[in-house]
Amino acid sequence: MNSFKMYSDDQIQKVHESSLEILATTGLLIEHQGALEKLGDAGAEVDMNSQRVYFPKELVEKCLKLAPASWICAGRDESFDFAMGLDTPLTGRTSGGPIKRYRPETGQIAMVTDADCAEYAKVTDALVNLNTVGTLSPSDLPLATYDLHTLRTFLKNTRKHLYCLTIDSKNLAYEMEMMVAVAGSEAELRKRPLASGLVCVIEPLYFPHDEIERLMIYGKYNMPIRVPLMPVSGANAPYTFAGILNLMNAEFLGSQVLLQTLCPGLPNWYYTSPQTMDMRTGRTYCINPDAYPVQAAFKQLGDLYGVPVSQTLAVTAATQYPQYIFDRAAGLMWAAALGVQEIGAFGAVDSFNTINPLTLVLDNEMLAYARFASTGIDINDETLAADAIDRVGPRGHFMADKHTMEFLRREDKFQTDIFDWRGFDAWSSDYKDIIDHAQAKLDHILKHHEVPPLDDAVLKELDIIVAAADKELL
Amino acid sequence: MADLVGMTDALIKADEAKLVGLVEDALRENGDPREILNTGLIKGMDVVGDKMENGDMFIPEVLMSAKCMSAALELLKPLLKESEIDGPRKVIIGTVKGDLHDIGKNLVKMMLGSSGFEVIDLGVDADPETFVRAAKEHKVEIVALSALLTTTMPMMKQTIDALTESGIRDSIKIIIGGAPVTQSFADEIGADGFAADAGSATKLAKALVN
Repeated sequence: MNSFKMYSDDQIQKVHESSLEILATTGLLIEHQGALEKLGDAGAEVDMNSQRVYFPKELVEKCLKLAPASWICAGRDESFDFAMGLDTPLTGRTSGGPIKRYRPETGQIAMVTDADCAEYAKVTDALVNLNTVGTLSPSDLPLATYDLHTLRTFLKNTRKHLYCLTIDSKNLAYEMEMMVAVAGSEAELRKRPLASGLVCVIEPLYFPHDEIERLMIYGKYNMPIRVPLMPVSGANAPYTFAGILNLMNAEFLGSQVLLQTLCPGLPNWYYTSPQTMDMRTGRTYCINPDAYPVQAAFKQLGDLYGVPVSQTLAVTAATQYPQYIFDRAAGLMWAAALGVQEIGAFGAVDSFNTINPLTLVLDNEMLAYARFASTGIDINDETLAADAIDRVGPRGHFMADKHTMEFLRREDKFQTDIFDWRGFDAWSSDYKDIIDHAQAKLDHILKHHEVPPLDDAVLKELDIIVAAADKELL
Repeated sequence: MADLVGMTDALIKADEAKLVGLVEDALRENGDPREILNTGLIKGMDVVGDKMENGDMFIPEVLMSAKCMSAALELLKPLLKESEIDGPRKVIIGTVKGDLHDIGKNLVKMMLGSSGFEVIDLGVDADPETFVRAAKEHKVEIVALSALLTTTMPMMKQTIDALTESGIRDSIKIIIGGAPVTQSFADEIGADGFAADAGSATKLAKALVN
């Protein structure tokens, strides 16, 4: 599929070479003895005292070849599995980690609860266009094991592939046990990963110890991961667009050396979310127009490296629907034009902090809109309809023509539950707008949608694992 | 005669070489260090503060002006009595236990420093006992806590509790900040203030000590 390329090959190559230079001369700080030793054995230059590691170009290129170009993202129900690869259509991921919940009916914002998680997961299960569901951060669960309780809630209430957050490597080990319980076996989980995870870099250029411990666990199960690259221009990244691009690309390449040296063949996305700092206040935002030209370069770099690209559309307006819808839609259309493989942060407002289930419904629809608009048409002798045009002739009509009848249910046209293209006269019969339609859809889902439950035996095993974790960690 | 207007201008423009040169010239000509401080330098920083408030100056520019101010102050300090220079108000700042993120903390630290505070930085992953020890040792007026992760926010409460148990709570003000932190959370855990960004953190700190 063709996609929009904003930069020339020479420009992209220039970024790539500058990033390689950063890795060779500035390097990374990796606080993990074992990782440093392995990287040293692989050909990196390591200073054990300062824990700085420098990667030669040859090592980077070797590791890039090990990064898979495609894999499966599985749900607990196979019908929700989807392929992730270099030519797969745009997929949507809901935001991982929000801590608050906005209630449009009252205008109140409260901390997310476990019940909110169950409801949120159920809504994602019903929305056909959303692919991956991020777990949330409820406040009414035990602090040291809330991630495990939350994972259980999401496994129970959505059949979709999860983006699973974790507190630390100890908890991640329990999360894997839970996923093995649902998958049926370790081998089955490796074959069909029910979740994808994350390993964090702290910008600029620093991997803490526990992130490497988590990486090793993901590697054991070959679970796809994201290394979120989210620096702030002018703060922990250069102020210029090209500068933040260069830093993030260096971090991506460096992370590939780390990932593929410690866990060869580990699937991972090139995951980027550049942030802007308001230089007047110091406040940080993810602003679409600032991100767009940089995200375009990331996609071309991802293509160069043969790795699927994941990007985030963040929306900082708390509840301003007109701006929310514009930001989302513009970003989705941009991502679709670039050929990006995954867009994240659906269902959240307020810089990833707050969920608003109504926005899940809006995002679901806008994702379908963008996918549809960017999917090419089928051009062949049949669809060109030259015979039909000739048959109908000048001043004729196609309403009852056999060609129309043949394709009436074959040629997909955009279907929507919430967009409304009625003219004023028809619309003024009820004055319902997109928010009304979205709310009605959400209400219907909450009232009627049922998620097939997990087997009792699996549920029991999950409870045993979570209880064991509570006993050890609380 | 001291070029006080020139000093103010150089400070606002963050021209350290020019500012230092003008101060040195003034002192060579027996200029009054008090007048240089108040009419040349502090006046300049007041203008910088106003410009930042109005959005006319950016944070990096403010920090550069503050750096110039520090350089000029070093020339004046030996000539001024201790009572003529306001002793810096002391702040300890750190990212709480379990959290390794520090960019926000570092930004607040720089802004507080440029506003005349002496900032003792406890770094990241700082446990409550570290905050207590540092607060007592440095006799600070403000304790500033930073957290980026929701899982580490509760450590803010634990740190406040530790400061309370140590007996110094009444002599300090505690402010908190970080992406997931809110005013309501600050109220809930007994902090004295919450700031959503580095600029407001500085204003809050000034308001709390004055």
